[in-house]
Amino acid sequence: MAASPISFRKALLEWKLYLFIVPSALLIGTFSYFPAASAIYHSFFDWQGGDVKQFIGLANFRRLLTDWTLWNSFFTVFILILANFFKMIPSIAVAVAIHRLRNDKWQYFYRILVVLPMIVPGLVTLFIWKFFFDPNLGVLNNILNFTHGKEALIWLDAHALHWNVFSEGIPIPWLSEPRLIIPSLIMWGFPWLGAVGVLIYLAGLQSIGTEIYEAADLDGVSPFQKFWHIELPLIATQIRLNIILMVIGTLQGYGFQYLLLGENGGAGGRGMVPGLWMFNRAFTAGEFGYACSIGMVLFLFILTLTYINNKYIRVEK
Amino acid sequence: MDSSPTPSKTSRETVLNSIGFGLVGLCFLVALLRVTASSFSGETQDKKIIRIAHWQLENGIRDAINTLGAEYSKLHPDVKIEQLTVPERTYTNWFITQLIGKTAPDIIEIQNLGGNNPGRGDTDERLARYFRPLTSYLSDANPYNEGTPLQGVPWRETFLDGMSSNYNQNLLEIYAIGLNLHTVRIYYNKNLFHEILGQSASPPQTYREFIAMCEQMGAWSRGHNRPITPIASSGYNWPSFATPPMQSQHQQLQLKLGRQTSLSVATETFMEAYLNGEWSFENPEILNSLQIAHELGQYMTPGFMQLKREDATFYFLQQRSIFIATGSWDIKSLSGQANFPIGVFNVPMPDKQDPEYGRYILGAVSENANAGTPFAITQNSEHPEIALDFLKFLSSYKANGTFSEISLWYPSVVGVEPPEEVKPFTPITEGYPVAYSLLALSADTKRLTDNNLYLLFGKEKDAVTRFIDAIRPSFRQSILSDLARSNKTRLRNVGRFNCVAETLAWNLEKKGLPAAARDRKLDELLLNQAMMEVAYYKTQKSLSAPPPQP
Repeated sequence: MAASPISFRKALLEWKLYLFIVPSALLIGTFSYFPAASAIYHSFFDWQGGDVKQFIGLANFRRLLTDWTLWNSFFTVFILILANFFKMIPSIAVAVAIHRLRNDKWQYFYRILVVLPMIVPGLVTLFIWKFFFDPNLGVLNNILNFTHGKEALIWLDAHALHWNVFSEGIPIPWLSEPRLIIPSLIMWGFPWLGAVGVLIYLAGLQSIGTEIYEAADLDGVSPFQKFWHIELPLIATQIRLNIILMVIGTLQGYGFQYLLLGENGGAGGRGMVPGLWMFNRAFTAGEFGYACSIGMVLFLFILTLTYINNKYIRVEK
Repeated sequence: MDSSPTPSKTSRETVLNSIGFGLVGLCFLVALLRVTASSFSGETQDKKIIRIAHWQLENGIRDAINTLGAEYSKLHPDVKIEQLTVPERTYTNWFITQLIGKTAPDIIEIQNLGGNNPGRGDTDERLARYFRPLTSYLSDANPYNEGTPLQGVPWRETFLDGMSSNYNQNLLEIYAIGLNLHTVRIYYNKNLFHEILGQSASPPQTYREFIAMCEQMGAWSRGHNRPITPIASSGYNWPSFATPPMQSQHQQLQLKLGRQTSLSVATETFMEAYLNGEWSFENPEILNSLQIAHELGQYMTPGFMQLKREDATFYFLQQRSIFIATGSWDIKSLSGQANFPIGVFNVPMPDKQDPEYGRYILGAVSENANAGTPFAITQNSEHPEIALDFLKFLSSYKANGTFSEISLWYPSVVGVEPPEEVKPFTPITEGYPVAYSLLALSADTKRLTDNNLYLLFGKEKDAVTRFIDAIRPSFRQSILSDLARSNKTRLRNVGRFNCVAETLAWNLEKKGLPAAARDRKLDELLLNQAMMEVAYYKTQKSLSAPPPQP
C-alpha cells in the first residue's frame, strides 16, 4: 500500500528535525545554487568579470544564435556522446564477468582491481594519455610501428579515407592533425573501463536472485542469452543512470580537451566542445557574461536530454 | 544451523570499523588544520604577512625570492614574506579568479601586455580595477639604495629601461616593477653539434647558415639512422625561434604603417591597418615571414604543435635534438639537468644579402630590453605600504644582484653586474624594433591563426598559401571582434578617468599643493583622457570602415 502524504500541520510538529538538513542545505545553496543563479543573472550583462557590468538584455543570447564555433562544438560533443555509448560496453561486460565468478574471493579481488586505478589522480591519468599520443616517443605510435599497424593505416588512408595524414617515415601527429583529433579523443581512456560504472552495474547484478540463474540453467539457457534476457533487463535502471551521468559529464566536460589540445581546441579547432568554448570566452576573451549565456544553453541541453531520457527510455520493472 | 556472527567476530568488526572511521576523522582533522593554517590571513600573532605570487617555476627563482624574503624579514622582524607559486598553465585562470574573488595576494606577477591582450589576464580593465598604481612613488629615491652607487637616484631611473616597459599607455600609470631582463637565445648541445658538423664548426651567424646546418644535420640523422631532429620544439617554443626572423621581414612595412616616430607599430595599429587595407596577405613581406615560419617548422620535432614546453626540454635533454630556442629564464633549468655541455648563440637572422629575404631588411632587429617578471600590488592588499616597501627592497641594487646571482636571470637594475653565465643574454639594443607578432595578435585573431598553424607547418610546398586561404575568410571578422572588445574597455576607462580626476583634485587640494602644481597634474590627466578618447574614435572609425576593395 502506498504511504499517504503527511499533512502540513503534522510535518511542522517535529520542526526541530528540519534543523538537521540546514547545514547541507546551506552548503548546497552556497556552492551549487548561488553560482548557478549568479550565472543566470550575469548572462544578461556585458560583464568582464569585475564589478562593472552593463545590462544588455538578451544580446548575449542573440549572439549565440550565430556563434558557429559554439554550434560546431555541439556537433563535436554529440559525436563524443555517441562514442561514449559504445564505451560503456566494456564496463557492463566486466561487471557481468565479475558477477558470474563463483568464488567470492576472486570476485572481491577483481572488484579491488577495478577500483584500484581510482586512487590515481585524474590529472596524472590525463598526462599519461598525453604522453601516450606523443608522436615520437608515445606508446601508440610505437605499438603501431611494432605491429605494422601503421602500414595498415597508410593503406587505409590511400585507398579508403583519403585523409593524407598517414605517411611512411613521418610520425602520426595524433593531436596536431584536425582529422585525427576526434578519433584520438574517442580512443582516450582505452579500454574504457570505468570503475564507478562497473560498481554501479555490479550493485544491480547482485540483486538478481540465484534462483533465476538456476531456472535458466535448467532451461538450458546459453551464457549470452542469460546476459540478454536476464542480466541486461535487470540492470537497465543502472544503465539509464549511467547514461544520464555520461551525457551530463560529456556535455559539461572540457578538462581533457583543454589539457590535450589547449584552450583553442587544437588544430582546426576540431577538439572544441561547448565547455571549452565557454572557458575560452571567459578566460581568453574576458567575456564572462557571454560565457554565462553559453552555460545557460548547456544547461538547457542537459535538461532536455535528461528529460528525454527519463520520459522515453523506460525501464520495465 | 545458526549463521549469526559470533560475539568475537562482531567485536572485531566493530574495532576495525572504529579504526576506519578514526582514520577518516584524523585525515579530515589534518586537512582542516592545514587549510586553516594556510588560510587568507594578513597577520599572524605578531607578524604581518605579505604574500607574493608568480608563475616562475624555473630553477632558482623560488630560492632567490625566498632568500630575499628572509633578508627583508631580518630588516623588518614584524613582516613575513610568503611565496606562492602557481603553474604557468593555470596561472591566468587562477589570477582572474583571485582578483574577482578579492582573495588575491598582496603582490602578484602580471604580464603587462597592455590593451585587451589576454596576457596573464591583466587587461587594462583589471589593472585599473584591481591594482594600485606605483607612478606617484617613482620620483623618490629607493631608500634601500643608500650606500650604493644608486643612492639618491629616483626609483624610476634605477631600472635599465627607466620603467618605460611597465608604463601603461592606456591607463597612463606604472603598475609594476620588473626584476630582470629576458632575451631569447638558441641553446645547443655542443657534443652533438660537433659530432655532426665537425670539431671546427662554429654557431651560425645568419639564417642561411643555420638552414644549411639543419639540412646537414637531417642528412646525418638519416645516414646514421639516429632519430635526431635539429630543433627541439613545441607549441610554446616555436615562436621563440621563428618570431625574430619573421619580424625582420616587417621592418619596411612598419615604417609605412607607423604613425608615430617610435619606429615601432603597436599590435592594435597593425590590426587596424589591415582593416584599412594598408596591408594584406598579398604583401611580399607577409608572405616572406610566413615562408620563414614554414621553413623553420620543417626542422622542428615532428608533431611539435601538440607538444608542450616540458616535452621540448625533454627532447633536448634526451639528446634527440641539437637546438632548442628558449629564453634566459631556462639557463639554470637546462644547465642543471643536461649531462652534456651547452652552448648559446643568438637567433640567426636573414641578412641584407639573403637572396630571398634580404630585400625587406633595413638592419638588425633590436631586442626587447624590457624589465620582465613585473610585480604589482593588488587593491585588496591589507598592507599596501609594506608591499610597496618590499618591492623597493627587491629592486634595490644589492637585492637585484642577489636575485640575479641565485636565479641566473639578467638583472634589471642599473650597474648590477650579471653573472658570467648570463652575459650571452645581454639584450641587443641596436636595431629596428618590432612590437607586434603576426601570428599572435589578440584573442580571436590568435585563435584563428593557432587553429590553422598545422597547415603552415605542413610538409606541402604550398603550405603558406593553404594557411592563408584557411585564415583569410575569418581574419577580418576576428580583428573586428578583438578591436571592438578592446575599444569597449578603452571607453570604460575614459569614463573612469572622470572619477579619477575628481578624486585627484580633491586629494591634491587636501595635501595643500600649490595651485599651479595641482593644475599641471590635473591637466596631464585630462590630456591623457582626451588622447584615449581620440584613440577610441580612431579605432571606431576603422571598425566601421567598409572592407577595402581588392
